Amino acid sequence: MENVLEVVNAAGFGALAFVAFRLWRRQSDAASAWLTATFAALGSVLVVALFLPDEPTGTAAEVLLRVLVVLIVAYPYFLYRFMAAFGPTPRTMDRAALSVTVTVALATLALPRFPGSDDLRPVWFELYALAIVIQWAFLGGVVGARLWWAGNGQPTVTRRRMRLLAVGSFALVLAILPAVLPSNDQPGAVRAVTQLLPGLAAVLFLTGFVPPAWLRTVWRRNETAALREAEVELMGVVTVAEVADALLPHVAKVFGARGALLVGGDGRPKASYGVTDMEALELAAPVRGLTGHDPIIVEGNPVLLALPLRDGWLVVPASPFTPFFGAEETNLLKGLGLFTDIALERSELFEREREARRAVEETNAELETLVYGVSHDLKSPIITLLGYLEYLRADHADKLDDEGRYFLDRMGASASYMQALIQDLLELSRIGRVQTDASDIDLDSLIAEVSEAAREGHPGLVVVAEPLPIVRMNALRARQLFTNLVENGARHGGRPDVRVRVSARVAAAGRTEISVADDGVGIAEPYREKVFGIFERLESRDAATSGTGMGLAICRKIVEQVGGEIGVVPSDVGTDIRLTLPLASLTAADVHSVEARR
Amino acid sequence: MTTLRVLVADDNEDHLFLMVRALQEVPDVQLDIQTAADGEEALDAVYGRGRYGGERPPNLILLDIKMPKLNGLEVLERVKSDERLRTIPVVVLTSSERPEDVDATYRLGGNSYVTKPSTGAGLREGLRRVSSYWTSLVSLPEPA
Repeated sequence: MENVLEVVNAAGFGALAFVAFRLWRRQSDAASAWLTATFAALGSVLVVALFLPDEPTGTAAEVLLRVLVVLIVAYPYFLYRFMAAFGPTPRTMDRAALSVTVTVALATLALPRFPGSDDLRPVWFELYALAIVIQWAFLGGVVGARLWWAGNGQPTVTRRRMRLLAVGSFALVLAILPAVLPSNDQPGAVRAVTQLLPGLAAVLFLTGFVPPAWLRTVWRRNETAALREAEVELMGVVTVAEVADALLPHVAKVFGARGALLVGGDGRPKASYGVTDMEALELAAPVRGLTGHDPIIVEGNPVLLALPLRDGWLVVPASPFTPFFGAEETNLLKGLGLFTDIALERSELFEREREARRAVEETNAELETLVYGVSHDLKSPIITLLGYLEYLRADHADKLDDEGRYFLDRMGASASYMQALIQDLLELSRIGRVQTDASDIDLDSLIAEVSEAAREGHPGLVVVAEPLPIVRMNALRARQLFTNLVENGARHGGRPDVRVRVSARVAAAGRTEISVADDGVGIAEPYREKVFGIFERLESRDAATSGTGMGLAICRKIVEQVGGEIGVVPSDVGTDIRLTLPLASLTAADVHSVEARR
Repeated sequence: MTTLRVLVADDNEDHLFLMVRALQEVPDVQLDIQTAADGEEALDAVYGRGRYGGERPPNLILLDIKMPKLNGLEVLERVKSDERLRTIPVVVLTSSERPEDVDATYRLGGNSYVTKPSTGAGLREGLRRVSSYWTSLVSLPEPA
């Protein structure tokens, strides 16, 4: 039984030495070199021991035995150097590790003889055995503790791997502890456990270094979920800042990093999470000029994980253990790269569109300011012109003949028209700038008032209003809107007794569609959109019905200002203008009070 | 019929002419109209100095805002911060429709803000209402 265990242990550590060697061949870094040395030392001891007689005799056997013991002593030191390869260890600890190892190794060589298993152990040998145990416990303990502690904040797979190594290291320390006692004095249970421990350690080490794929998958669940979550969030974002918000916290979490950043193709940080702007600049510097399609680990302080994007990099400041333990985890990032690229591309498209829209809006605003300024400045001379014309007619008309007075009339009509145009232009430029505060407008009473006012100018006009809802908009604009619409019907109906019907129906949620339809001459199909343009009139200006041609343009602007639409729909008779307006959100009490007023 | 003194300040000569004429046509009041082409002249008229030397302060002031030297709001501020003159009603009559101007007028103690009507008839009607309101409906103590 004991022999079987010995073979298993030897095979286990032999395999570990082989795995470490392959790793070293692949990575050729200090960590894997020391690791190879570690398991080569232990493995060779266990393998050679299989062929060694229980009680070696002769000089050759004696020398071989001492070499094996030196290798046993070297093992924890190599393990210590493996761990120290990841980052600076305290110098005193380095020195202590080296000196205790060298001392024990020299003592091994200097021992007068090795007592047999049945011999009585001399005091000097007891001291020597104690020294070996102390050396193992010290170095193994330090390595185990450091690996365990360094696993904090690492991605799950890396953390578990490091912790397995730490436990393996502790197990080996436990395995050697009983060596303080001669094997004959050890209780049977202790001996059995002692012989099992190296095998257990070997399994732990092996699993730590080359965890099977299924185990990685299980361990990785949290990270995979976090990255999926990031992918889902990335699908909905439209700005670079939102991309960063959706992506970087998850990435940082997965890699146990304190932050993460997006670096542009120019090598400058685009967005960062968890790091200051200064730090972001420093972290971005090493990836400048790098190329590639796969995630790269950039050695340095800190070690950087860099995922190439279509234009730039996703950079994560990682731990020094990442190159050794987490290299494979970086592949997790690969899938994310595509999503990030798509999200960034979409954000840039949106950004360009926003930019374009902003430019258009700015131009519009400038234009409106210009229109306002010009029409405002035109007001002053028109006041003068109209004023003098009036006095000219009042005071001096009798000195003119009929033709002179006709000229005066034409001048007056023109000046009045110009004044109306200026007024409408001013009005158009004011919509959306002044009088924007909304209130609840009862369309029933508004239409009643508007119709009465319109009948003053058009006595034959009939306005039929069906029950109308309460809308939410500016009171002045609402009056302007419906005055224009009703007057439009009266003025362009083609006869004095035009009937205008105002009705409403519920449109989309929170909106109402209102129809202002007349039974006049109507608008021919090609002009139905044109009538909403500025200065668009279908009759010549001299027609009696003439307006400035801006009434419907003003209507459209008012409606669009509250997010509605207005247009002419085809109808059998006359003109049917449809518009959508936001409904007021009413409480039952409001409805009641409105009903009561009817 | 008592004669009321009205000061009209406007840098636009034509507007000044039209306003004076409109005021003269206001029925039922005898108006003594003073004119000023800029803010300084307006203050001269208020204080009875310069070409208005020795004259009593007006009973009503109509001020345009955009004027050289001192603008209407500055004139308004001077009048309203003078203990002896602050009771004189000041009507800002301007073509400006900027909300800032309206706010400033009332903040500085202006009594009314009226936008210049854009037709002759409108102007006459406006001035008739303004002057009759301030000269017959409201009775204010004479400025000291």
